[in-house]
This record gives sequence, structure tokens and C-alpha cells, in this order.
Amino acid sequence: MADGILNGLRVIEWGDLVSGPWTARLLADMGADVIKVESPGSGDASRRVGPFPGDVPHPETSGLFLYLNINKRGVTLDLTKAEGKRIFKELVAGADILIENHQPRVVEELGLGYDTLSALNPRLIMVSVSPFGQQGPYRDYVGSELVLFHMGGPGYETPVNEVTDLEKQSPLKGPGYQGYFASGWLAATCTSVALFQREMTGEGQFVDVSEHEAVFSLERPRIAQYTYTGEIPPREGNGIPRFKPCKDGFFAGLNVQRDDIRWGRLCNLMGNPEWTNDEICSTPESRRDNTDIIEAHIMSWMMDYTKAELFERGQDAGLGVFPLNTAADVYAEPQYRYREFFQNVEHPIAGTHEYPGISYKLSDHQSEIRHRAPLLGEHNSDVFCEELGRSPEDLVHLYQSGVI
Amino acid sequence: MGKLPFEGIRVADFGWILAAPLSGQWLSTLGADVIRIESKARPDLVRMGAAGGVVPGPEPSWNRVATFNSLNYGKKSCTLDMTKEKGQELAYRIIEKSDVVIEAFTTPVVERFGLTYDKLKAIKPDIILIANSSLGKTGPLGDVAGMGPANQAFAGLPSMTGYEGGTPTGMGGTWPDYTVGMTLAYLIITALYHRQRTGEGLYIDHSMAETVMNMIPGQLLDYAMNGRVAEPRGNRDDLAVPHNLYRCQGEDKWVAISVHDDGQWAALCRAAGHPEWLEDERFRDSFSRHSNVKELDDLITEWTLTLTNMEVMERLQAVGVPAGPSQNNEALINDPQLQFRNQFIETDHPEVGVRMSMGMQGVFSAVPERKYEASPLIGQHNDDVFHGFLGMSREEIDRLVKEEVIY
Repeated sequence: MADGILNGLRVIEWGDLVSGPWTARLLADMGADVIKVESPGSGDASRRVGPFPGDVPHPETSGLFLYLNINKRGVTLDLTKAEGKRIFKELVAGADILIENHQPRVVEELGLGYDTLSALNPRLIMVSVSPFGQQGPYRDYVGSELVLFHMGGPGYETPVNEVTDLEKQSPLKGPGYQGYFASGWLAATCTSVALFQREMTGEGQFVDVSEHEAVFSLERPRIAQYTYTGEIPPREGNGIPRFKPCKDGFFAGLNVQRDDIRWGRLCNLMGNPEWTNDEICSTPESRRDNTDIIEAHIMSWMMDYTKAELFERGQDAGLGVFPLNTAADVYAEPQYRYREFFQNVEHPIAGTHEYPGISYKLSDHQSEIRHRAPLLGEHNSDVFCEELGRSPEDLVHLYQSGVI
Repeated sequence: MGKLPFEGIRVADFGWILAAPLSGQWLSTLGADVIRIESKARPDLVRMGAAGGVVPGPEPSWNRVATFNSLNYGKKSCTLDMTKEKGQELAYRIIEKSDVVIEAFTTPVVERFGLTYDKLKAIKPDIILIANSSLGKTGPLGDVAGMGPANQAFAGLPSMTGYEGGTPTGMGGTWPDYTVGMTLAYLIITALYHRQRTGEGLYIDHSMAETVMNMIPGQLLDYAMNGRVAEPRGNRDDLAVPHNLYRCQGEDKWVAISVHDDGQWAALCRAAGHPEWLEDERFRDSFSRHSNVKELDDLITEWTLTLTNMEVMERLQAVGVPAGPSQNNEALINDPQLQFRNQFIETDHPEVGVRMSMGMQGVFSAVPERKYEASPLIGQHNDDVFHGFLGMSREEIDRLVKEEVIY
């Protein structure tokens, strides 16, 4: 198999839960050598999240941890202890990139800020992901997926269309960790900018990534929409679901079309029923003003067809429509199978399971799942003895004194 | 502080709609010369108002569109009819002098426009071509069309979005386009880094739906591991409790609160002036709080209703409990943290004047301030590109305009 495009890069990840680990995983998939540093004992918080195979909780079998830490090696270090810090600094001194996602205050109090670390390694790129960023009035505020998702804006617009009772239907969070994953993509993008620049200048730098801003960035056009038109998207909608029921589930994209071309395609798809000749269907404006009535017609037509039928006919008609897949459906979907998106990964304790894989293909090079996530401290000996030159006796002593 | 990192890099940007233009904007605001290659025969749907934000005027315009203008800062725009051979030839002349090509068309259109990797590689051997599509360019559905909101359905996301016990629903905005925009930027820039080191170009085939699935691994693995099909969970969480939105003073004002351990719970009880909650058997530990979550949420709401959402945030954050207001775009503009961090920028646009819009994210210690210039009018830079850059005579350009090649 061909090399990854980031082969030869050494990355230290001092991450927790999702955003830092996801950033490092994106680099690891491209071939970077990522060493993940966890606390001895409990390790990364994602080890307690699950899902667990057979619903039997075990710190080595949490699905979220196993997914986020594929392609990495793992060591343990207690960074509150002097020897833990010393070893951490040795690791960072020999690395290209350090990724961490802790509160700014925690990093400073440990004495592991950029000023200290860059003095040891001027080529170091340090990427700090934090809830609200490294400066500003909210710098020391604590975050969570829920809080950031709502403060950043998307929660206010979710669900789309379906809020009819403002008191009973609160703003809504996306599933899982959408904000933290977006933060990881943002941090990885910033890392790549710093790498590109270092290749020209020879110097590293500090990159400050705010999770609040990563979520905010998903609302990109809303700011200009407000300053151009004064538009504030209303929370209340017309109650028409974005994903409408059909014979065997839900379906996306069969909506009233304002533009005549797409409206014509939709009429053809439905076999041009008589109601489509009504006055209310004749112009983009009349269709907009009578959305409720037209949508009701479309919904009643859809109930006679399955997701598969609507998908085939809709795409043939030139409409960008899709079935609403469930978690079970996506695993069965031939398109994802063809692209080998789901990958079997073996694990000595969790067993073999199919994991979501890599969302892009590269010519001549490969981003791929090369090895499973590390057990807690699995590579202590490899890294501390073979690479940093500690003796096996040192390793035992480090363990006995709680450093690793 | 010297140069922006991508000064000297040129991008031929055929990427339309939302996700692909955002990736080009990462490069243009960091110094690259990004040329949008558009067509009046087939204008960007966003220019036509498909994603809202159009300023009304006496005449319809493809330029007064807030959505377009916040995704194309500092780019140039030229227009070419890519269904014509001569249009393709001119595009190739631009590509010959470019480092990156961005496209977001379906496979049949890519072939009709002559934008396949084989073709572009023959013109520019070290070209980086990124292809963004709904489901990837290979496979039985490798040529389907579809945009973000419908695309997220194929990835399964809405089946687990919604109120607890409710039907599947959509996420706000035009999910997942702006995450995908960052994904594409990451892929392009790592490819540029790879080319710096090896001299090699790269073809990147990105599937939007697969990136969406990358962000719901827990739910998917619960199926793979346990056969459980994820359903909507509202604002709740399996671990943290309380974990919800709570009504506050004011019209439709809400605060998000999440409590992740017993220490935070104790801090919340004291901050709310209800130390007696700490003694309540129903809420003694996380397990009990999960079992009595409805009663718990009701009690917290009684408290939050006496305050504004900003007051609740301040009181809880002061004692280390995650809390913050639900914000719409008007609230976001007034967010002191976002203001402090220069997340709002101004550009002076020929048709709409000076307007504020969203800046780019990520603060670098060794990169100069990003370059924020207005997004282009459609075809604004035809003369710059065809005369100034490609060196064509004005007569030839006029002829091609008449022939609707430059169109």
C-alpha cells in the first residue's frame, strides 16, 4: 500500500473526549505518527462514553474512544508530576506538532504553555483547542457540546420548520458531538496551514482554536443575511416536516419547488396529477403562498411509495432527493460498501466491529485504517524505552511512582 | 509579520453552492489568488437566491446576495461557458497556471466540462484537483446530485435528530455544508504541503455523506456492536444530567445547562440558592438524577425563569458549571467573546456597500492578519483574467463575449 501523505510527521496528542483526539486522528489517517498521551488510571474521558459491545462497560471497549483513536499509539503520563512533565517535554522536543484541548488555565498552571515548549523546539506547531479560545471575556468559561452548540447558533435553528409551539419546543441540539467534530476539522485545517507555512519559514507557531467559533462558523451566511436584510430566521415554522413520511419510512427533498424547472420535474415524477394544474401551482409566488396545500398533496402522494422507489424515480427525474437512512440502513447501503467506507477493525478486548472509515480517496496515496486504537499505556515501553532511552528499570519505577 | 502563507498560490475555483466556495475562501483570505470560474448560463444557485439573503432591488441581481458574499471574500470572478470547446480551452489556460482546481459537479457534468483528473494532469502534471460530491465520484451512486440537507438524510443523521420520542428532523442552517467546507480546506492544504515536499499533485475525491457519518460514530457503532438503531434524544445526554435547555426571562429566551459530575451539581444547587436540592434523595447522584430528570428539569426551570439567560450563564460559569444562552444571529452579533476575537469583519462591496459579515476562524501566532476583501460581482474580473493574466487582446475578448464563450 502506498504511503500516506503525512508520513514522517510526529504528532503528540494531549487530548480528551472528541475535539483534540479527532484533530489528531485526521492527521493519523494520512500517515502521521501520533502518540496519544493519557492520564494514568482513568485515561481519556471518551473511554467512559460507549457504546460498549454487548452493553458491558469496560474502559478498553468504548466505541467512541476506539473510533477516535484509530491509527495512534498510546502512552500514559501524569502531567502534574515533575517527572511526567519532564518526559512530556522530551516528547514535544522531538515532535512536529502538539495538539491539546484543555482549558487555557489548566495548561498554564501546569507550565506547559507554548512559550515554554517552543523554547525547547522552535519548529513546534502547538494547536490548542479550547471552549472559547485563549483570550477574551469568556476565556475561562467551561464548555460542553450542549452549551457550545446552542451558544454558537445552530441550536436556535433546529429543528427546521417543525416548531409550532415556542414554549413546548425548545431549541434543539444536534446528535452526539457535532460541535466537537466541527472543532476537530477546524483545528486540523489550521494545523495544515501552519505546516505549509513552516515549510517556507522553518518556524513553528501557536494556533488558537475556539470550539465556540467552530460551531459559530456553521452559521456562516447568517451574519451577512442579518446585516443585508435584517433577517432573523424565525424559530417557528409551518409545521411541515423536512423529512416527510412515505410507505416505509421517511424521505428527503420532495418539496414544493419555486423554480419552474424543478417544479416541472416534480410534477412529472408524480405523474402530473390533476391538482398540479390548479391556479395555486402556476407561478413561483403562488406556490410559495400556498405551500401548505401543495405540501399536503405531495405528502399524500408519497405515502404510496417506498423509500427505494422514490429515490430511483426522483433521481431519474433530475431531483436531488434521498431516502432518510437509519443507522441500520447506512451499514447496508451498496454505495458505502462499494467505497469500502465501513472497515472491520480487530481489537483484543472489544472484538471485531465495523467502524465508519475515511470520507475521501486520494490518487496514488492512501489514507486508511492501519491499526486499532491503543490500550491505555500500550506503547509506554516502545516510546519511553526505545525512543527516549529510559531503561526497563526506569519504566518500572515510573509505574510504581504513578508517573505512567 | 511578512507574507500570508498562500501568496503565490493560484486556485481555479469551479466550486459552487456552499461547501466548495468556503474551501476556496480559506485560501483566498490567506493570500491565494482564487479565480471563481462561473457561468451566466448556469449561475451559482446561491447567486440565484437558493440559500437566501438576497437584497431586493429595482432589478434582480446576482451580486446582492449575502450568502454568496460571505463565502467568496477576495476571489476574482470570470465567466466561461464550459459546454463550449473554446470555453474549456480558456479554462485550461487558467488551470495551466494554477496550483489547485476545485470542482463540485456531478460526474456527467465533470465529463462534459472536461474537468477530469486525467485531462487536467496532462495540462498541469502537479495539479491538485479536489472533487466534492454528495456520495463520492465512484460506486453505483457515484453520479447522483444532491445538496447538504438532503444529503445528510442519506448519511442517517436526521434519523437521530429531534425531540425525544419524536420523528426525525433536520438540523438548522444548511447542514453539513460548512463542516464540509472545512474538510475540503483541510484536504486541499495538506495536499499543498505534500506537493511542497514531493513535487507531486493529487486527486481528492470527497464524499459529503461519508464526512457526515464520520461525525456520528457512537450512534453507528451502537448498531455495529449491539444492533441498536439510534433515535432522536432531544437535548439529553447519556452521561451528563441535568442536561437541557431551560426557559428564562424574556420572549423565547433559553439557557443551556449541562452538569457532568457531582461537584458541578453541588455548585449549581448553591448558585441557584437551593442547597436543599443537595439533600434531596431524588437527585443525590447522577444515577438518581437520570431517574428523576423530569422533576429535576421542572425545579431548575422555576429558578431560571427568574433570571435572564445571560444572568444564569454568569452565575453558573462563576462556579465552573457549563452554561450559556441559546443564540440566534442577532444575539451572535452581540456576543462579547466573538466580538473580542474579531469574528465580525467588514467589506466594501460595489453593489451593497460596506457590510459586516463573518470572519474566518483560527488564530495563528505567525500568520499576518487575514485579507478580507469583498466577494466578486459575476464576471467582474473578466478583463483582469483574460487580458491581464492570459494576455488576450481586447478584440479577441470582445469577440468571445459576442460568441457567448465568455458568458
